[in-house]
Amino acid sequence: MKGSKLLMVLAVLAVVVTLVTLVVTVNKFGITGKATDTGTANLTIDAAASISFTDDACDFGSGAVNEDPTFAVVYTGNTSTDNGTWTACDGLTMKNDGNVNLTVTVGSDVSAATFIGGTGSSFQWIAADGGDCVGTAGLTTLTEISGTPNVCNNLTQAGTIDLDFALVIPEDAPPGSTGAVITATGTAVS
Amino acid sequence: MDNEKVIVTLLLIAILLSVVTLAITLSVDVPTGVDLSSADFVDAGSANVQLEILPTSANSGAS
Repeated sequence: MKGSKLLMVLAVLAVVVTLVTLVVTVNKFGITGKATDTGTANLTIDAAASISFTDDACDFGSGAVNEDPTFAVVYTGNTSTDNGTWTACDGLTMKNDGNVNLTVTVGSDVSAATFIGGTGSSFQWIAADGGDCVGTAGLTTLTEISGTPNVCNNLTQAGTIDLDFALVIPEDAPPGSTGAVITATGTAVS
Repeated sequence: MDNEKVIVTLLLIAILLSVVTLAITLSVDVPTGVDLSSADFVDAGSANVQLEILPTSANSGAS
């Protein structure tokens, strides 16, 4: 009789523990090992942020400041050059070529003092998205290059942003070749 | 009596295995969503801007 009670207690305990394990497993993983007469093909496409420059070079070429006034202004937005002999490029274009919307920031490895030099030099940028930014756009006015400003907090897939530059080159800017590396960083919109 | 001992032993083993299975199940992490903070969700591209400034009387020291 005593042995039967012990068996009963152990049996009930075993059933309870097994049921708890079953419930936890089903809640966590779902029902596995289920046999059906249909097959299921699963395809998972991972979200991937990707941004690239479709126009990745802006070469102003060589030039000089005219005698008067004492500085030249080059602007890629309208490819104009005033009081200098440089040829303005048409700016840069970046594209969201991933499968998620992006928050986009831009940065430059140099500022006006390093890129141009001289007295009163200026290296500015401005962004235009053409309607592909469905969030808040930044750099909508010419702004001196510094830091990593946000140009759009929600750029659509396949959306593009044009980045233009305005240069003020003083006559005392040191001669020589110079360059700037512009980096665009895209972060998936959560 | 011997059969009872065997049954008790088997039941104890069954309970022990169930507890171990439960512990393992609870300790496994199941991915339930997308982690947007991972490196796969950030990308960068770069471009170059070039400029050459020619020497003139104003910037080369020539008079």
